[in-house]
Amino acid sequence: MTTHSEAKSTYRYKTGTNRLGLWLFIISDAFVFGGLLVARFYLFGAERPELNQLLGLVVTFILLLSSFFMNRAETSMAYGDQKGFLRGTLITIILGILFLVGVVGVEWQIAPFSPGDNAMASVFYTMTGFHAFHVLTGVIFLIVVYRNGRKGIYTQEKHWPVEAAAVYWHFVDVVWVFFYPALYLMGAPVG
Amino acid sequence: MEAQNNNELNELNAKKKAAYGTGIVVFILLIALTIGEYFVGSIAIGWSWPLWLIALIKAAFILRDYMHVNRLFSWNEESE
Repeated sequence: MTTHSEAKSTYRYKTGTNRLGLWLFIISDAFVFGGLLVARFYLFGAERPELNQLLGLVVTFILLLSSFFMNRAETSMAYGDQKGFLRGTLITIILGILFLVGVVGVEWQIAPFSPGDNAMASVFYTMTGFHAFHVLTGVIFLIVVYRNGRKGIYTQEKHWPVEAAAVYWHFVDVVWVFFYPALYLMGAPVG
Repeated sequence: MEAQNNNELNELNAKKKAAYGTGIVVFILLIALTIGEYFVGSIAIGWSWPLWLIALIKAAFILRDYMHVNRLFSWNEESE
C-alpha cells in the first residue's frame, strides 16, 4: 500500500518537473514567434498583404475546433474514458491536417505574391511556414500519443504525454490567435 | 459500501460533465470573439487596438481553460 502511494507521489513529482520543463520550452518558443510578429509590424507597418479573408476565417475556425477536441480528449483521459480520448485525439489530428492543407495547400498557392517578391511576402511566408511547421510537429506528436493510447499505455492516473501533447497543441493555437489578426485583419490591404 | 461507491461515481461523472461544459463554453466564446474580430477588421480598417484586445482575451481563455496554466503552481496535486 505504502509502495503504491509512494509510486503515485513520485509520479506526481515527476509530472510537476516535466510540466515546468514543457512550459520553459513553450516560453522560449513564444519569443521566436514574438520576434516574427515584431518583424511583421516593423516591415509592413499599417499595411497588410491582400489575402483571402474567408480562407483565413475558415482555417482559424478549424484550429479553434481542433483545440476544443484536444481539450475534450485530455479531459476524457483524465476521467478514464479511453474511447472519448481516442475519438477526440483522432478528430484533432484530422483538423490539424485540414489546417495545414488550408494554409500550405491553398493559401500559399492562391496568394498573389511569392516568397522572394518583397519583404512583406517574405515575412508572410516565414510566419505562416514556421507556424505550419509547429502544427505538423503537433500532428506527429498526436499520432504517437494516439497510437500509444490504442495500446492502452495511458491511464487515468498516468497520462503525462497526453497532457504534454494537449498543452503543445493549444500553444500552437495561441500563436495563431495573434498571427491571424496580424496577417489578415490589421492594416490596409496592399495587393 | 455499494452506496459509497455509487456516490463517488456520481461525483466523478458530475466533475467530468463540468469539465466538458467548460470546454464547450470556452469554445463558443472563442468563436464569438473570432467572428467579432473579423468584423472589426473588415469595418474599422486601421483600428488595431481592439484586435489586440480581442486576441489577448482569446489567448487568456486558452491559457487558463485549455492549457491549465494554473497546474504549474499546484506542483503536487492531481491533473483534474
